[in-house]
Amino acid sequence: MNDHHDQPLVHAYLAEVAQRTSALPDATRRELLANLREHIDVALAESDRADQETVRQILDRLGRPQAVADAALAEEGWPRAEAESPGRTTVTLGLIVLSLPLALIPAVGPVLALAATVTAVVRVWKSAQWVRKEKMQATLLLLSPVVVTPAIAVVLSLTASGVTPVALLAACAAAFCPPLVAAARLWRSAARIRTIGAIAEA
Amino acid sequence: MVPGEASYDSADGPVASQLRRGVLEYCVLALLRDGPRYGVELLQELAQVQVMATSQGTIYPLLSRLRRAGLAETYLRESASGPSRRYYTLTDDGRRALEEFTALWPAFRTAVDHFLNPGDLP
Repeated sequence: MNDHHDQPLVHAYLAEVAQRTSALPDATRRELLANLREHIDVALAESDRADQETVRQILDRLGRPQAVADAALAEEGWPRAEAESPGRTTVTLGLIVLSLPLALIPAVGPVLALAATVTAVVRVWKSAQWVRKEKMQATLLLLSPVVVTPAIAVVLSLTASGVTPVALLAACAAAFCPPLVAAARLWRSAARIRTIGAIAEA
Repeated sequence: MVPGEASYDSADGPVASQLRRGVLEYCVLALLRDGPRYGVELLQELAQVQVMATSQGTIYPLLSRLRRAGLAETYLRESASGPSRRYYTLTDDGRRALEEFTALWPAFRTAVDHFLNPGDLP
């Protein structure tokens, strides 16, 4: 009866709604997906046929995953994310990427790196391009080196070789991974919003 | 499905969607006034009226909000044909909200008409 759960169309539809509502609280998002799944089940059960074409029609009436996701985000009081200029995004993400080489400058390095990171965090929060949840995650990842770098250094200093320059460099590189992940996620999300904006204006 | 149902083209204009945003939830509450309805049924009734037709999936977040706000309740009921249906039903708060809207709406409608047809001055 419920063999349409294997339907690639239904699966892809729900997966896209899920992906585009990742900013919603988990319970709200689960409820939305459950409602959509139930709707598809019931609509199929009430239809005379259960072929691919019927499934397509049901999904068509539900509307584009983007429209459903936007409606869900709007209900939660989230303003629709608005793309900022690509240049502004590039500067923000550039500051994040720059903080590693900056950190390696003797003496003033860590201070410069911290300044670049804090500036990037402020720019992320000022932008309407990312939702709150994305901003929170990015902030944690971006500021993590402040804790992670000394932690790795302490671990290294407890090992036989002590804190060598190579070990310190390795610590910096490892600690720098979370900010890179943050930059990549912010970039992907920004690119997606620009694409949606371009489609809406077309 | 019912042939000749309104088209669910989500590409309707910003004016239509802006207008709908304000009144849709009261239309949903009104549909529930005479008894519980399940999702698919509710959406089909909404879709009968062209101007309220929207992408069906966008109604579910609205229904969730009505439930969370205590204006509607849901329960599952077994069905002879296929899966259980999730029924939506009005709460007392929902009924009050609908009454309030019903009381305000005529004056609102008249006011809008008044501005749209300046010749109609009383």
